[in-house]
Amino acid sequence: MHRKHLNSFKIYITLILTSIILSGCWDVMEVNDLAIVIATGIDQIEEEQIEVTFLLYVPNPSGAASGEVSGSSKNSYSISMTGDTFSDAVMKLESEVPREIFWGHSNIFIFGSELAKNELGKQLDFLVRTAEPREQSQIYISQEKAKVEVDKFVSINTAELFSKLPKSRYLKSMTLKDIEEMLVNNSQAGLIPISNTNSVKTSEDTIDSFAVKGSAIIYQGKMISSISGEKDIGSQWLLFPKTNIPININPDGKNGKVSAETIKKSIKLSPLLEDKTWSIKIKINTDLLILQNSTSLDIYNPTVMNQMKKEFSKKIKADIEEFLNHIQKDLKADVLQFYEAFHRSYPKETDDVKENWEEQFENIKVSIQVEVKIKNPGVTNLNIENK
Amino acid sequence: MNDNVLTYKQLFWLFLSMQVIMNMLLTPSGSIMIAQQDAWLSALIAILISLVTLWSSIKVCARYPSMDFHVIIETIAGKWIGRLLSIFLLVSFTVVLAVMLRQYGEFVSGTVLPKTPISVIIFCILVTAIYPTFHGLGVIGRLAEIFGPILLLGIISPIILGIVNMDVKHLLPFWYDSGILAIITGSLGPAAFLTDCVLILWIFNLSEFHPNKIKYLTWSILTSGLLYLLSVTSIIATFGVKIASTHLYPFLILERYISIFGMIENLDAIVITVWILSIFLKICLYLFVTSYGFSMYTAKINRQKMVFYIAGIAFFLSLLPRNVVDISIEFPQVVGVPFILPFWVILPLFLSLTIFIKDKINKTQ
Repeated sequence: MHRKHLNSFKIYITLILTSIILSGCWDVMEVNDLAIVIATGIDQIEEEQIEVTFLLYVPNPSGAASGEVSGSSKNSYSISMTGDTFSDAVMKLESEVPREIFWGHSNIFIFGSELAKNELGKQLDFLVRTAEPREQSQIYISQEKAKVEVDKFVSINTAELFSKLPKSRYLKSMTLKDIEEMLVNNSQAGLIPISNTNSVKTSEDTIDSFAVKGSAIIYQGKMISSISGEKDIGSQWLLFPKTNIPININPDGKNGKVSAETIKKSIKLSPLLEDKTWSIKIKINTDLLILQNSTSLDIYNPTVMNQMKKEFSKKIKADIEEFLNHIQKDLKADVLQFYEAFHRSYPKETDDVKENWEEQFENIKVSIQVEVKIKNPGVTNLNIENK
Repeated sequence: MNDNVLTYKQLFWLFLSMQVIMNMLLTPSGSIMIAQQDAWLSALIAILISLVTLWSSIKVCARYPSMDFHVIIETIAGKWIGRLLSIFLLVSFTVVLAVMLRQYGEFVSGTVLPKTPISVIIFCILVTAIYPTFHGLGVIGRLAEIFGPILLLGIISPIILGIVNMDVKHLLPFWYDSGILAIITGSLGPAAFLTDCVLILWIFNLSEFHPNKIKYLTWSILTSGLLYLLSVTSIIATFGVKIASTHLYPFLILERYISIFGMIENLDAIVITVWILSIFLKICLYLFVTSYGFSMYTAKINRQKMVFYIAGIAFFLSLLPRNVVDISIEFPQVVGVPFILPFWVILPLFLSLTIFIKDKINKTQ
């Protein structure tokens, strides 16, 4: 009898002791007490002053239960904090907001262009050093102030939108890891997409939605230039292998245009060093899908198809050349990491020019070879205008 | 209850699962920093060093299959030198045990429980580790048999899921950036972890006699080494040398970077839990060997009581370093690589050589 009591006593003690461990020690976090960071905007407001704008999602289960309109827009808040550095502003937010700040779902960081021009590298350090933001977070540089942009997102379902950004086949996106890698390489140059907003009309009012327009060129931790429009198409070919690109051509002597979209593309850099001439061959393979044909051409005809392929590759080559010329001759920023490509094949020779790579980079001869395959000319060959 | 008998399969799982995680988590960044993209060659050298250590340790034990190590070493090296060497070995195990506890504390606090005091984290795992150690090696062996396959899954699945992020071009240029000296220096870190197979000296006679025992042991060290090789290679292929060498736990970052269709994400929460199983086994085994060994040199205290004393000492030692730099960078540079690693490699080599010479002399007589 006595033994039995002792045994059950042991079991009770064990249960009580394990319950202490179950609470997660000092780091207990209740979902109801959290403020989940969805997006972060970082601006420089004056010399040595950083303003950080957080888009917070505050889970509030009671709101949904009492029949109110539930959904993200009612639970989203934006709040701005200023501090000496990025991390200083984050600490201030943590000390002022009654809820626990949770970074696990933070998918996007937008840097204001003013800050990017002065000290992007310095503020990126915070993201790289702390364990909380994930390496998959997307980085953008905003056209205007990041605060203005983030404030606009309060009214739309941004958490959903931002979590799907990296999967988008059309929007350019770069992860923190990609940028980290570009900027620590010897070339110290990288490219970050520029974010902007689009106005969207709903039945009640006008709201602003997230958009990507153009790219910023980063060199030695600072943004040195931004490119957009025609010039920027080349960057999509060379640096964003997963996005689809629209292409329009005017076939020779025909009245009208043929539009297509890439379904798949791959890029290969092969550096060559001969007789002290540095040259690099860029080979691009792409599969196209024809979307519209407003000419009288019969695309199903194999000869026409071959002609189309040539026209398309000419257009693609021109786009890439424009972009390359700009970064190579005007900006002298090795965003394509040519240095690393050469270093892999010619380690000794690259080491010799390591110090004045900027000069060497400018003089690299680039040849571009584009191979186009028309995977799908469309499901019908009907030409509405020409009978 | 005091069962100290291991089967040869338990031996395989025990050594494999206790070595693999700590090595993968802690040594790649240092090794990559020194040997650059050729760190995988360093891994091969580390495997070689550990196999030599294992081979000579087994030679020593197999010569006297039923004796405890403290008897063996006194037979080979004489009473006083033998005693001194064996106590040195035990002290090195105790120090490493304390370092491991602290590493574990820093890892858990740095990744999942930032606000929990490190002493509490260490205390929790130590108390848990005391339980199986108190009841004997057999318990630890059975645990290893259960945890081992789960651990393998927890290592290989993230690497396979991460294949899409890898690019072998990061492994080039071959040899130019490092050179033979850098590759050998880079191998010392992982070698220090892999050569802790010298623990077999103390537990060889506690495992059952089986013709396959030595083969299984060799395979367990080889597998653990090859898994390390695989992890280093995939780390370099994913991040490139510059990022991989600056992170404290590059294998964890590899984990966190996995995103399959946006659905399979944030695997680290699951995987860290699995990894802790390996660290737990390592702590148990070290605790067992030190308590078993020291109890041979104390007249009255038995092994089970010794577990508590050693745990107390290790706990105290583990609280001494000031921060993660002390334990992860200073300790390996000042104590680990220059003293403990050579001692672990040379001691079994010296013993096996002495046996070889003694036997030769005996034969000629």
